[in-house]
Amino acid sequence: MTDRPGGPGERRAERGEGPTPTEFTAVGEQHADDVLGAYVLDALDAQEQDAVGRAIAASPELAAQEHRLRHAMDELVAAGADPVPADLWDRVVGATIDSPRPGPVSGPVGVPMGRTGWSRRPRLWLPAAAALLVLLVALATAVSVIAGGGTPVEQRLRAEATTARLRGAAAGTLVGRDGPVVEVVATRDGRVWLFADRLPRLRADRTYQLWALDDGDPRSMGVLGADPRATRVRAPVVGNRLALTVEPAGGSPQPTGPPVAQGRLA
Amino acid sequence: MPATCVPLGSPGARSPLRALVPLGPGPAVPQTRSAPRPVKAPLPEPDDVTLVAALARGDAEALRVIFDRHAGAMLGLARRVLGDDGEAQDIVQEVLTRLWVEPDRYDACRGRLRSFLYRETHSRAIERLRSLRARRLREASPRARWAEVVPDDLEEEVVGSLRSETVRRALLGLSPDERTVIICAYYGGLTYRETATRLGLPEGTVKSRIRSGLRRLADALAAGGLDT
Repeated sequence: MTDRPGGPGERRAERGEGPTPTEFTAVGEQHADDVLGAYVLDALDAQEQDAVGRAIAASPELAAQEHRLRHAMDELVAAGADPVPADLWDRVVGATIDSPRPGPVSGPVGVPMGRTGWSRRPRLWLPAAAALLVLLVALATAVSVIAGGGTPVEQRLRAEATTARLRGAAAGTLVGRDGPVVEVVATRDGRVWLFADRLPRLRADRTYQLWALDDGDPRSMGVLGADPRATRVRAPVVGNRLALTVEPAGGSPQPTGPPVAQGRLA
Repeated sequence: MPATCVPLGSPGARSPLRALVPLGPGPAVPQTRSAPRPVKAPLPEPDDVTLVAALARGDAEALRVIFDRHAGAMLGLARRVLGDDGEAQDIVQEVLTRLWVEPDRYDACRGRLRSFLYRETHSRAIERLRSLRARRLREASPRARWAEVVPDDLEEEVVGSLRSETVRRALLGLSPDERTVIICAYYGGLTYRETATRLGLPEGTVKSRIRSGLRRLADALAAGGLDT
């Protein structure tokens, strides 16, 4: 103990009280042991917390006790996990993109992580790439219309989509195994434009089909044909997740295979 | 396996699209075909050290794994402390963003990554709570002050949020006095001195109840198979 014999700390100790926060420049092992539980709960004053932390760092025995108590609290916290809102990950991604990182952030250094199942989850760069693509689509649309590129139908659809986007329609990118393949613009009243420059042409007996995904079963939003380039469908968008499958010509009431591309509207 | 990924053919997968997110092999394009790829055995899930090392290299997928593993517990903790969903989400976002920016702050020698993240979450939530509380206390009448500090139903809410029966039994196995001081201090964001004032108890009593309660909790969890 750092308290002098007969000092104020000792008198408080006799009453079952600890030192005041200003006396915690250092604490003895016995006092640190007394307040170890409060330390784990972060229930000490800041100075006291730091002082006990130093005492723990200097004592393997205290460190072992602290580890055991903290593990108990960790189990309590882990057992109280809440469902995570769907947009929280997007918020984290947005914040990390805005946050500069010190040092190099790209290029493999050391042993790369294994490409396990989790590596197929949506990637961090996707929202940024999607936003960029939406911008590029809008730009390309403007250039295309001005330059007269594409078929007249495609030009008209792109102009419609750009107008809808400017009026607040949702947009998104459906991403396939090799990257973005379809740009989508959708209005609340169920008008959906799709621009699919990078989808491979299918055999004549197959078709692409668009699905809206919510908590229930997939809902068909339309059959797009074997070689969709610029298309407009009329279908209510339920939720904000979309997927594209390959189906027999004419479409299917339910998907018969896994999605070849998927994405979210925002 | 993450909750969003239901294997095809499992009871939860009523159609292939319910099984999102794995992408299919792509459309059958009548072009050059390569030989079928050999099926590889899945690699083990990355551990904390591997994940944080990957994070330090700027591997965003590592952050996604960490998010999937820990965001729910972090969010639950921040919600219990702050009692506000928006504030709690802000805390989770801040903690994970800081980990992304400064992965070196995590020292694997000092414990598991989840422990580090929970501490960060708790610390930031308490800091936010104390700031909000100071403002509320300035505006509250003296009589209403302590009632404002910790919600009366906090203990009930914490116990009700527990999804593990082992943990719930362990917490309910504490004496009511021990349980109250632990929850009041940890989730109520009070120092043990403030807890003593709040509960009208001597500081030494609160200190010893916290200590004995946590030890008994650790013992009960170990007996239930949740040892360190």
